[in-house]
Amino acid sequence: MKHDQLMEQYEDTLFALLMESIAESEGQKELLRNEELADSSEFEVPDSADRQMEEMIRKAVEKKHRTRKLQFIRPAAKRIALIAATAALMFTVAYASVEEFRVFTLNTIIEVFDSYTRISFTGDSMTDEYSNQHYGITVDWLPEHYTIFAGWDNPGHTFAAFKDDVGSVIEINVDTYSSAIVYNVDTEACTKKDLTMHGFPASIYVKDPEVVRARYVDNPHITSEMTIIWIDEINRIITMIHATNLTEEEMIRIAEGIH
Amino acid sequence: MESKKTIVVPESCSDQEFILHIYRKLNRLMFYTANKYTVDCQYNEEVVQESIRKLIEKIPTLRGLSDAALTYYVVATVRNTAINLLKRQKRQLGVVACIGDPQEDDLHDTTPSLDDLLIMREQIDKLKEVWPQLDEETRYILEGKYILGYDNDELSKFLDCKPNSVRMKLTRARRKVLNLLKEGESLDET
Repeated sequence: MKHDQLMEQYEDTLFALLMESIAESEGQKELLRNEELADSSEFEVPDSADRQMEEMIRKAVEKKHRTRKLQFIRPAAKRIALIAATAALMFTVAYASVEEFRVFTLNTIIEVFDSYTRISFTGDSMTDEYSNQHYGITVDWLPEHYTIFAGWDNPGHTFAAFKDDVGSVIEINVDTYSSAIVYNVDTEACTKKDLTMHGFPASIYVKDPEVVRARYVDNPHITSEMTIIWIDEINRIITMIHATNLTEEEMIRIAEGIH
Repeated sequence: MESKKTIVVPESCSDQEFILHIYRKLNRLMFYTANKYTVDCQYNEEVVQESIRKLIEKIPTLRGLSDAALTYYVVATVRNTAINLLKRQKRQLGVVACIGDPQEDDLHDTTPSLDDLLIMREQIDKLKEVWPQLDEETRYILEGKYILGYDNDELSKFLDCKPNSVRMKLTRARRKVLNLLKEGESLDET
């Protein structure tokens, strides 16, 4: 390496170090100025501007997290039709008498029937801003041997499906919810447990093993089936994970790793 | 009301809490900095919003900074954003003055010696003194490169020059600092 290049590198590194000290000393001055401004009534930020900024921060950070690592979903978009049918089967089943009615939040209604649970939303309708969002999802952890076989990211709706060699599946839905959408979740012969997921109330539904065996008579490898659901009331997002052949701990670990 | 005298962000807080915390602590300073470039309230809000978006992209870097360095980073980001938006506005109006790309020849006679650089290393405190004396463009370049961590491509966009010219502009900026330090040294000796 030429002497000039080495000198330039040295100068560059030296400046980087020097600028660290500038950041400290100038930062101290700015901190003092910040104190003065805080104590002064001359330079107040209007409440409306503060509210606007804080709302913007919430949305921007949320958007940043949701748009990470979407690429893994896109290549499988050709198989949308197949998965659309699967999803419909999973979340829409027969009617029965109402057993329980409970208001989950002001806008969320969960109705538990004999063979399914209906989740709907009342109140204000969705704004375009929410319903047009592309979320994308990041899954921090999946059990070994699962590969993605379908998925898409449409405005207000993201879906990804994974399977292993014996036909076990993991399906993840992340949707913007609105009063126009009703989710019918297969909860027949399920044991329900309440938990907290990402700070929001969540439920995990574990299907009776006998019913699972009967349902998957064509595939004796399938021995369990469960669904976990939680609703992010701040961002109006409902997340549902449906899987076969996982333990509760694995379901929870997947759910915890979804961003 | 929370004290504004220190930043002190809880380590375990989420990214959202982290940025909200910084904004709540430094909101006046951010608007104050933006206000130096224009008194248009709407413009100031745009500058602060855009700055926050940039800060969100740099959360991992910000989390590792001291209170003072973090504060400076925030102020430098707002300043940088305000200047860039002003430049954009002027460009739209067709009134931006094009800063000429420096020529290699400009730099030949001012190459610092190793001694110069060693002296400079020993003069960190002096550098703190001469920093406010530097012209805005020089500070803008050095802040962009060494504080905000922009690469040459990003800097070239901000500086309205070719990426190849950034290296020379940086060199010129560093030389200005060095010359100021040397001038200070000469004055001390007399």
